[in-house]
Amino acid sequence: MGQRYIPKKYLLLLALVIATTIFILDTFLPLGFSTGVFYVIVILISLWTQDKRLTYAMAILTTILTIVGYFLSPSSELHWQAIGNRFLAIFTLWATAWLCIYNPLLQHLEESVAQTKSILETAVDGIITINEKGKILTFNSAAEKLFQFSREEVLGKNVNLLMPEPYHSQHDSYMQNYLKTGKKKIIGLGREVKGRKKNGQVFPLYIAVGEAKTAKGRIFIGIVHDITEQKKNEEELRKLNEELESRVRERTRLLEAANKELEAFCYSVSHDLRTPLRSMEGFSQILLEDYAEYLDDEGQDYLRRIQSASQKMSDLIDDLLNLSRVTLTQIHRSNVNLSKMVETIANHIAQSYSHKVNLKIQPDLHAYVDERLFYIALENLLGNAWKFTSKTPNPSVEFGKKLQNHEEVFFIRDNGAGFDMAYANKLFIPFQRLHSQKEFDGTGIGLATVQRIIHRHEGKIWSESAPQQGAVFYFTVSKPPKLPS
Amino acid sequence: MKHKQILLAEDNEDDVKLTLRAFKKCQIHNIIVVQNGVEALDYLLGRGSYQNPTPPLPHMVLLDLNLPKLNGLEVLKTLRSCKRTCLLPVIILTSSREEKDILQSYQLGANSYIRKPVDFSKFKEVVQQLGHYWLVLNELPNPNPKENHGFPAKS
Repeated sequence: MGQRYIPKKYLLLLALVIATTIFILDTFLPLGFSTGVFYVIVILISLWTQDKRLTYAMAILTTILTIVGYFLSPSSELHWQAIGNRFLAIFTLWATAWLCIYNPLLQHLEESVAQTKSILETAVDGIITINEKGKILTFNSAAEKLFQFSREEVLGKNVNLLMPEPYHSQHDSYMQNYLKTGKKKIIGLGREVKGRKKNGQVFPLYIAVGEAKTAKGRIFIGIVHDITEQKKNEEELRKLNEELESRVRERTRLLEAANKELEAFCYSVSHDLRTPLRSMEGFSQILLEDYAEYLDDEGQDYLRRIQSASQKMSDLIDDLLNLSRVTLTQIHRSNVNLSKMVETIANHIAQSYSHKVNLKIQPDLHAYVDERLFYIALENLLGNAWKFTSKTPNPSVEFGKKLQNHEEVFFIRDNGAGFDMAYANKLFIPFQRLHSQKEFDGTGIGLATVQRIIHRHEGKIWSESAPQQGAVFYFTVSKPPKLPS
Repeated sequence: MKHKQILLAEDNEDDVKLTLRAFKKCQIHNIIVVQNGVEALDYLLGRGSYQNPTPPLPHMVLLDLNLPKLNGLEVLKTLRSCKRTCLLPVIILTSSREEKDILQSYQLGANSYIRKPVDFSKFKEVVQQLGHYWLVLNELPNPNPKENHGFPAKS
């Protein structure tokens, strides 16, 4: 993993050329000349390849060449001296080879290199180092897999090879700019950029770049993570969200249109349906006033029935409109004193009844409700309480609050006519009545309205009763949202 | 009170009949009836068939909201923007009790908003009270004959 990478085959070639040159020189020089020592260069070259087997091979090759050289060199008188020289040369070669292979320092280095290499090679992310000029120094397996370039194809090349435009042409000037000004765009930080594979395919990647100083200048280490999948997921999520949003918009539009239509319908109902009723009621009245002498009692009774039916229908229209208004209207909640509201409404209701009701109100009960809607709800509940106690001796109505299963429950209790719990499920359905018109009049919309109001406050309403034993209506409303303190 | 005039803008014949009867019961007979919004404006602003001569302004206008051609609110808006009629008492008399209608009527300068009750006895009571209040009790600003803006001449 040196700074300068020279392919093994070139080194081998170089070693062989040097070995041959020395060998040829050896054959021309006198035998006493210890040419063999020069073979050390060949062994040292093998060091570059970091291949121990090559060092052995070179040591053996140069030993053979030294011995062969002995026989081919011009003879000399100093025969024994020459043999000694050759032995010394061979000893030097092997000593060098041994040092190359077993040098403890080198061994330590190798271990560390092997460790680094294993880290680099097992890393899931691509790891690429470049020098100040942008030339690729290392390129790990993950990077090979990611960019589909082999290590040999990219080492020593400009790293912009791995970048699509505009990064491709900007990278050099960016690096120069950084080296000059120290202005960081990416170093020390991570960033999402685009990479280019060997086949030209562009893909998104996340790169974290670090910087290190070495003896040969600064190097930059890039850790590259493929985010194609992630991007695809993000894109899918974005599309889904968009689709959802557009669907919500469409639904909202439809709902708004439906609401508008309903509002228009309600408006028309309130106006147009009531007008003929007024005619029926009014002209019946005129008949009774001006033509009573022409009608017998039965005829007058029929006219009165027309009148009371018209009035009844008018009340029905009002209640229905209230019910739809309760659903359509916007809700504005605040902290409301229900006890005070109950008192006001009760005073109002009491005026239209002849019986005196004993009213008990638990003071200062507050709730987070829409004041206007809750007025309608309590008006209905209290109105019922008054209505159904009208035939009870010592009528009493009570408003209060209690805890039930850790929940605050409001209640309105009366001692009136009550109802059979078997029909409790019909209580809150529009137009369903548990008493005859003759017993107690009413439209059967009141409790349906109350329930809608309670539901709009995310609450529940239920009741307990028995015939002739009064009724209790319980209701809850949701708490105000907690404000961040 | 007998000579004081009322303009009733109402398109429903039954309602006109009932209203006239209710007024008759309290001795108010001087009532002009117009059938739609355009006619109401023509009468009050002296336009169209009422151009010549310009009739004196009534003492109050009973205005239905649901009128053909121009609805009650549009009529009211025009009345309030004209010098001649900007102070004229206009009472909205309608079947609707829509919050929106009530609010808009007052925003446009209605003097009162009355919902017609279905019960004719109650309706009579309402009409009687209206007549009594607007024609007898209520004081209007002294008219300046030169300008005559927005209220009727005292009779």
